[in-house]
Amino acid sequence: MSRIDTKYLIIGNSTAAIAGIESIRSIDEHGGIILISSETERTYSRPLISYLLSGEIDEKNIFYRPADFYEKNKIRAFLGCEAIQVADETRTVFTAKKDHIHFEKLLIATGGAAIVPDIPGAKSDGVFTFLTWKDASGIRKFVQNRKAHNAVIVGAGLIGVKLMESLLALNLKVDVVELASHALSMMLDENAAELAHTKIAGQGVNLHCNTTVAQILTQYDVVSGVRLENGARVDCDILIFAIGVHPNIDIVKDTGIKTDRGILVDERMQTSAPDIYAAGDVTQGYDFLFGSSRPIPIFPNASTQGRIAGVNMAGGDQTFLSGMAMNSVNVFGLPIISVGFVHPSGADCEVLTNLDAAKSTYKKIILRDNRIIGLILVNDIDRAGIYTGLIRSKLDVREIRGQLMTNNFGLITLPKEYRKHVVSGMGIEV
Amino acid sequence: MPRIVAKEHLCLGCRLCEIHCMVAHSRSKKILKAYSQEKDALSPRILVEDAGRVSFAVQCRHCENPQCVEACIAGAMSRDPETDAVLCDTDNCVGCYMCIMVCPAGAVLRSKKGKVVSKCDLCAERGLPACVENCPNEALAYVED
Repeated sequence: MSRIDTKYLIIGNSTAAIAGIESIRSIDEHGGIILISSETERTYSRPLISYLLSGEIDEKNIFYRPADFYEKNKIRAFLGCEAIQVADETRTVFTAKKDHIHFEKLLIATGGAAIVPDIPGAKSDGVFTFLTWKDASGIRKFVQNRKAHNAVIVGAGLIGVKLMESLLALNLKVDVVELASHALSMMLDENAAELAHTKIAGQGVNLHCNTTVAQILTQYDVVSGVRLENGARVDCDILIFAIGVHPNIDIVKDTGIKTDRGILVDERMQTSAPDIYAAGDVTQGYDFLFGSSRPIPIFPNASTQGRIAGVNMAGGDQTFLSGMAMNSVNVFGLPIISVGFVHPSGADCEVLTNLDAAKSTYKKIILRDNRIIGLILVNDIDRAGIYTGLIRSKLDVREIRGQLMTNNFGLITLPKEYRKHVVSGMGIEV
Repeated sequence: MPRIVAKEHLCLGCRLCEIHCMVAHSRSKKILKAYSQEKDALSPRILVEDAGRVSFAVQCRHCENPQCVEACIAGAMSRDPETDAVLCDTDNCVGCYMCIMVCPAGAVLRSKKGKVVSKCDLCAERGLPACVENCPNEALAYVED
């Protein structure tokens, strides 16, 4: 047991943690930084594990930053070291190795943990989740060693869909079970999902919607299949849960740090305790489109939150007020982008759509009070960011409404004043 | 930070910037060879937008807080510490298109070369960007501030 002192302590080694470190270093070049991570690998990209499992990328391409990242940024990285408990009043973090690390500023970026339902058989051999590099290696080894042929994925969200691609690349037959009425239900409406379903079915994947796993079937404590709530039985020799993540908040239990589903953060990414910040999937921050706080476990949110937290930890003052859900996914060659509030409810929402099933293209824009609040684009995605910018800036689009759905929508469609704003006074002079 | 500035009132909409951008990023760097041999693999990293009598060319703004870098799941997008240009390492890019989702200028484009993106690199190897050098009406200017 030893006592260690540091100016900055970062718990976590993924997107939010790295963004936090980079922004601290942009302000404070020399202040001591310790990073602790329960994982043993140097920083890698979690979303790339599906590409690694499929063989689309090599291990050397999974790293999120170059090999000299810690050295260049003067980071003491304690890898394979689990943080057990934060003591907010004494500004200490206790580790599994019984070290006490005393900090001046703390960033909690512990991410999320994969959800596994509490049903009998969930701990059997052959049952996996898919969140970490270790998960991907475990699945690969299991498939090879046991010569697995049939896989069941529970959950057809972003992770489930990317996992389909990986498992097909490993020559498995894939069944997917989804509780909602369609795949990617958080991101897509029925029209967009139908285009995705066509792609998925074209790959020979069986998608079972509107149902879930009622029972895990095992033989000698090894998974052998699942029985679904709709009565169907699907045999399999590997079962993977991809039904979402919950914020890893255990580390702050019994402290003054306020939590709900995640660690509550303000617009400066500070928790309810002074000098303790949180960023990424562990947090519950403000979603400006919902007008309330909720976990938004998406990649760009984690990196922006990390950057804001880092600036404020190093003595700056920045806020993040435009948190919202967004994602981009390539479903077997069909690019799909979804931003903001895509499930309009209430009479105050207006919806514009344009579907061309023959070309597999779809565009949907959701408006409220003459502002764009949601966007779905399928296939024709190239100018998506301009719409995202309009959502973030809450621009009144009354005057350009007629052009929002046209094919030549672009910066040229936008009011001159906004165009100037996009290019920050430089670039397109008007 | 170096930037390319577009002058809307001078732009003729001739799209020569697009052509010269493709040539500058071709293997041969020769317009005829690039057209005859590499056409299918090349796409411009600058885009001329026009509507009626108005036109201008837009490419990566090399933003101060580049959202594409923050959104990149592969760590492929980064700011070059020496030139300040925002660059994409296509060896690491996996074509997830998160950058396309967040670029407020719509200036990151899909590449024709498989699942990667294509964006302005300020002609790092060249000195003066090809679009600026070849604009016949000086509607594009290269400035460092």
